[in-house]
Amino acid sequence: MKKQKQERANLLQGTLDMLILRTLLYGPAHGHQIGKHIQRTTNDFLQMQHGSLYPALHRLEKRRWVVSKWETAPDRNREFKYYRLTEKGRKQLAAEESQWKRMSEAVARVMWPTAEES
Amino acid sequence: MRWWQIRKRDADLERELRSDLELEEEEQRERGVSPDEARYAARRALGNTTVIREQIHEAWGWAPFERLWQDAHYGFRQFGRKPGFVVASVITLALGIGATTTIYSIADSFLMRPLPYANAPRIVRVWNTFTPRGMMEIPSSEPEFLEYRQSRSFAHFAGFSTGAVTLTGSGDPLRTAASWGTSDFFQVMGTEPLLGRVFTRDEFEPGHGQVAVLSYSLWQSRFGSSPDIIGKTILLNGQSCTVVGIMPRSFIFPSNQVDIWQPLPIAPVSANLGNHYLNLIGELKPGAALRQTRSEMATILDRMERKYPTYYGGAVTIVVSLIPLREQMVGNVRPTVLVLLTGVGFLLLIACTNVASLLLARGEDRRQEVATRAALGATPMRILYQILIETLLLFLGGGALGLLLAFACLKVVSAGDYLDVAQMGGAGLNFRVLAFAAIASLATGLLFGLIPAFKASRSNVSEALKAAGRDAMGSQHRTRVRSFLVIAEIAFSFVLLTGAGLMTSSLRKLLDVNLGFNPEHVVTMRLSLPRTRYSLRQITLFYRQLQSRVRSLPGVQDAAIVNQLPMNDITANTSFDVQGRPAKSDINVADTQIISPDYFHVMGISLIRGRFFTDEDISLPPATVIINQTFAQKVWPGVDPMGKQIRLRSDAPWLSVIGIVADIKNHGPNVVTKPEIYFLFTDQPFGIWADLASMTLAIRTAVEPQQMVSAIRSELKGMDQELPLFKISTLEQVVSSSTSQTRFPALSLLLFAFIALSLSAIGVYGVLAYTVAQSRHDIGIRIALGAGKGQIVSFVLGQGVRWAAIGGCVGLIAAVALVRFLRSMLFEVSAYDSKIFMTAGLGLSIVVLFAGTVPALRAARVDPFMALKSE
Repeated sequence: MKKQKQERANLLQGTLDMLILRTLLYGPAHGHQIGKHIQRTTNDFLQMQHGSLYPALHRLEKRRWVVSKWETAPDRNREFKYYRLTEKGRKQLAAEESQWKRMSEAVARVMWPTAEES
Repeated sequence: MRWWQIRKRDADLERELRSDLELEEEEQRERGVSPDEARYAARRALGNTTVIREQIHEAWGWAPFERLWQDAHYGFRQFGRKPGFVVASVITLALGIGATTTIYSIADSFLMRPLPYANAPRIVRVWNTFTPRGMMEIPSSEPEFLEYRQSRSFAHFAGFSTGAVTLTGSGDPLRTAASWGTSDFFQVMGTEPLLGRVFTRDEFEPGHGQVAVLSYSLWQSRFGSSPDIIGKTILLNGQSCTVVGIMPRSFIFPSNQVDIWQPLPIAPVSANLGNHYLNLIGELKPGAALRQTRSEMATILDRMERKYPTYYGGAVTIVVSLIPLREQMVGNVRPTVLVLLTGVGFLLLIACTNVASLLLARGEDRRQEVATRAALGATPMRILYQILIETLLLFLGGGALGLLLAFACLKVVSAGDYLDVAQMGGAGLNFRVLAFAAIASLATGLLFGLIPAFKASRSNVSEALKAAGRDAMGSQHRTRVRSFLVIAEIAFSFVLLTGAGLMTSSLRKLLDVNLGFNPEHVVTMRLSLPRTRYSLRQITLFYRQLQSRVRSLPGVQDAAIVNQLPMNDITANTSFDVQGRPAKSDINVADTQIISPDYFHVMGISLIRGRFFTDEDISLPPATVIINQTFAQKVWPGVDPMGKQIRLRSDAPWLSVIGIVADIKNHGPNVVTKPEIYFLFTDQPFGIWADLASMTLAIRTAVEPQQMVSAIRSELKGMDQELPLFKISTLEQVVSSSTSQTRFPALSLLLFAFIALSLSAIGVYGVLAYTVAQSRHDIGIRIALGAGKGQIVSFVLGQGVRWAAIGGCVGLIAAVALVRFLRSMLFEVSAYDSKIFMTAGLGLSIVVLFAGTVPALRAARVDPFMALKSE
C-alpha cells in the first residue's frame, strides 16, 4: 500500500521535474513564476500547490540540472531566488522529453487504436 | 552543500517560501480579495510548509543528521524531566569508566606503549645467574663483557655501570645519579641526542673521557634549557667535563634518576675477573632469534669457564640469561597490572549493569510515551534509534566525566609514583587511552543500551495504553531481565570483594610484621665525600665529627652512621670462612652492614646476647663482629656463637663474635630474614669491599623527623660547603615503600570493591523499589485479604535473598577460578582462605538485605484502601 503510493509519487515527481525544466527553457525564473506558468498553461488542470514545486526545485538543484541565485527582479526593487537551466539540465530535459513522447505514444496506441491496425 | 550548512540553507529556504507567499498574497489582493482572506488563500495555495521543508531536507540528504539532532534534543529534554535518573547514571558510568581508564593507562605504560627507544623491541639485558646463592642478576666483569661482545647475534653490545656524582660550580652542590657506558651504549638504545652529540670513539680512550651527556630534566632544572650549554664545562666530582649532548626527555635509561652519562673506557684485554660491575645490554641483529642467541651466549660462557677454571671452578651452575628490555622493566609488576585490569573490568561491568537496569526501569515507565509516539506513526526503528541515541548520550556524558576523573586519578598515581610507573616514563592520557575511553563508553553504551531500547521500542501499543502500569507482585515477566542484571552485579561484586579481601589481609599481615626495628621518628639521609679531597682516615673522622655535631642539636636523640639502610635495593653480601672449617663459599654468604656503635640504639634493634660495639672498639685494630640470630642458627646451630671467629679473606684478620642482635626484616617485610654480619665503621682494613666515602646518616629525633633536616644541612655546610645531602627520607617512608607493591593493588581493589558493593546495593534497591511501586495494587489486595506486614516484608526481602544466593554462588565459582592469578601477590594468606570468602559472602548478603529493607517496609506500609482506590 505504502509502496504503491511511493511509485505514484515518483511518476508524478518525474513529470513535474520535466515540466519545470521545460519552463526554464524560456529563461531564468523564480519559484512563483514557474508555478504560475505551469498552472496557467495547463489551465489549472494540474491543480498543484506551489509548495510541491520547491522540493522538486531543490532536488533538481542537487542533481545540478539547475542552479539558483538571489537576484533583483527587473520590474521591481526586490530580490527573488532565480533558477536557471544548466547544460546538464538541458540534456536531461531532452532525454525526458523523448521518453515521455515514446510513452505517451505507446499509451495512445493502446487506448485509441487506429483503424488500419484493428 | 554540506550538512553543517543546514542552518544557512534553512534560512534561505525560509526566505524563498516567504517571497512566494507574499507574491501570491499580492496577486490575490489585486484580484480584490480582502487582506485577511488573501493571506489565507496564499497559504492554501502554497500548501503545508512543514511537509515542504521535510521533503526538501530529504532531497538534500540532511534528514539523518536532522533526526540525530532532533533525537539528541528530545533526549536532553527528557533528561531535564528526570534529573535524578541522569545524575545517577552519569555518576555511575563516570566511576566505572574513570576507574577503568586510569588502570588502563597504567597498564598501557607498562604493557602496551612502545618504549621510547628506537631499538627497544630488539634490546635484551644480559645477566649471569647463580641460583645456589640466589643471585639471579649478576652484573658482568670486564673479561666476561669482552667475551660476550664476541657474539655474532648482536648489532651492538654495551656494558654500563651506574652510580652517583656530585655536580658543583653553579648553584648548590647537587648529588645525582650517573651512568657510565661503553662505546656502543647509545647505539644499542638507538636514540639520537636532542642537542649536540653522543660520545666519539676517541673519547673512550683512557684520559680522553672528560665529557658528559646530560638528561633533559637536569638540562631544564639546572641550566634553564639553554642550548648554549653544549661545549661548556661543568664540574663533576670536582673534575671539569665538557657537555657534548642533551638527551631527549623520553630517554630515561637505565633509570629515570640518571641525569648524567659519561664514557666508560674498557681496555681490550682485562684479567679483572672479580669485579662484577658491568650491566650488559645488546641490540639483537634483525632476524636474530632470542633462543639461538641464548645458546650462543651459553657457549661463550662455557669457553670462559674453561679459560679461567680457578675462578669459575666451583661455580659450575652459572647460567647466562637474556631478558628482553620490556620484560626486564615490567618484571613482577605484570601480574599486579593484569589483576587490577581484571578488577576494574568487573567494576565497569557492574556500573554498566546498573545503568542498564535503570534504563530498563525507565523504559517501563516510558511505555505510554513510546506507545503514544508509535500511535502517532513513529516506526519501531525510529523509536529504537531515538532511545539508543538517548542512551549513547548518557554513556558519552559518563565517559567524558570519567575521563576527567581518570585525569585526576593519574595525577595522584604519578605524584605517589605507585608501582614505580615513572620508570616507564609515567602514565598519562595518550591517544590510545583516549581511544580506549571513547570505545569503552560507546561499546558499553551500545551493548547495555540496546536491550532496554529494543524492549521499549517493541512494546505493544494498545496494551501499554490500556494497562497503565499495573502489575501483580511476583509476576516476573517485566523484571526478569533486571533480576538477571542484579544477580550478575552481585556475582561480579563477590569476585571483587574476595580479591580485595585477599589483598588487604595480605597488606595487613605485611604491616603487622614485626620488623625488628622501630622506624618511627627516624630520619635518614645520604652523603658522599669526594675521594679527591678526603683520605680514608679523613672520611671516618669527618663522619664521626658530623655525627657528634648532629647529636648535639636540640631535638635529636641520637645519630648513627651506616653504609646501607635495611630494605634498600642494594644490599651488599659477602662470603666468609669460619675458623676451624674448610672454605665452602657457596653456603657461607651473609648480608653485611658497616655501622657506627650507636646504630642499634638509633634503629631500636635489641641485643639478644653479648654486647654492642663501643667507641673504644674504633681505636683498636678490627677484631669484632656482631651477627643476627639467623646467622647464628645457620652457621653455628646448637652451639654458642659467642667468641667464635670468622674472616672475609685469607689475608684478612679473624673477627670474633661479640654480640647477637635480634633479626630484622632486612629485605622488606615479605622476605625471609637473611644471615647478616655487622661490622664496625673504621678506617682500618678488615677485608671487606665497600665504598666508605658514601654513608647514610640515621637520626632518631624527639620531634617530627622531617623538621630536623634543615638544621642538619646547616651543620654539614659548616663542615664542607660543597657536599650535598641526598635521599632524604624518614625510615617510615623507607619501610612504607617496601610494601608499595602490595599497598597499591590492595587499596585499589578495596576501592573497587567498595564502589561495586555500593552500586550493587543501589541496583538491588532500584529493582525492588520499582517492583513494589508497580505492584501496589496487588499488595493492597493481599493486605486487604489479611496478609500480615511480616509476610509482605519477607516476600519482598525474599526476592533480594534469592538474588544474593544465586549471585553469590555464581560469584563464588568465578572467584575460585580467578583467585589463583592473585597468588603471586599474596603474603601469608591462602588464595582460598575460607574466612575471606565467607566474609565476602556475608558482607554481600548484609548489603543486599539492607538495600532491600526500605522497599520492603514501603510495601508493608501500603494502604490497601488507597492502593485499590487509585484504579
